Amino acid sequence: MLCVCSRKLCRYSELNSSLRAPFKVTNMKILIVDDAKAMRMIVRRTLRQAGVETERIDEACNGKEALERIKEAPPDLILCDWNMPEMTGIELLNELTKLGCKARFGFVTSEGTPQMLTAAHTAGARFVITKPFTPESFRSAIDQALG
Amino acid sequence: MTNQAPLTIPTVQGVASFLGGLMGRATPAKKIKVDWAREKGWLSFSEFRYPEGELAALFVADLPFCCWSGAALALLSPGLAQDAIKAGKLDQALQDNFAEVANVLTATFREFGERVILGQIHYAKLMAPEARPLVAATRRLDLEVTVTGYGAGRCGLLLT
Repeated sequence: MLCVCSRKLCRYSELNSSLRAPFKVTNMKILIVDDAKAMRMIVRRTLRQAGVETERIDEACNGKEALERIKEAPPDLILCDWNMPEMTGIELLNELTKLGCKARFGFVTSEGTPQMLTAAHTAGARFVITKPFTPESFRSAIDQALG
Repeated sequence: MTNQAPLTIPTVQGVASFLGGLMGRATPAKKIKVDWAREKGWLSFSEFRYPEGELAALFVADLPFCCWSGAALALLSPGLAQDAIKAGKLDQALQDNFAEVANVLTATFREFGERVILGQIHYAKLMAPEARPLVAATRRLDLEVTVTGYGAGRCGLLLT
């Protein structure tokens, strides 16, 4: 089942102590794919705020670059934007499926139409986090993806 | 002439909450009256387009809003934004960050089940030609937004 998370779940001010507790799964290798440098930084920061404790976070600025990185060293989790130049997020996911990649894949996007959610689910995405997001929406989505 | 249903005008609180969620800080907003056509200063015009390509709205922002929001998004120092305001232009980092603010703001229409995507962003001292038909739009939301910890700026959503 596709998990859809957005800021409506929680605001920053509503962060509670349990949210700050470290993830049970640590040292996870994560790849952040987004063409906006600022957004990659925000995703990184939000992962930290959500309690994800890992130094193994890599970045790619489009699907094509991500595909090369994944072929070299597959991550455990991929957090990917939807609209990007060169290769979109859904194109990347389809390529990874063809390659038999086992990494958990989720979208972090400003898109959120029912058609897009259906396409994401059909392609095998574990979750969709819509922008703007919160640490709690990250944790909820990743928890479910890892579960 | 568009065949698209017109976009719903967002609420002040809706936009303020949306920006606050994006920047991770309070961004209180209040409705203002502004005639963008008479503005002498630097403005940016972001095209919000329907997926089919037609213009749906313009997101207009003055230099302080672009600088404060762009800086806050990436936790850049307020001083850096202040320098850009004094210089009268955005540096590349602030420009990239502001583009992401505009990009994410397109999703504010998502709650109404409407979809637009970010088109081109025009950074100009003078009003871009494509903005002229819309500056007198009656379907609009003009705001002064305070980015807590940074400063206040003005922006507007002008809907076709």
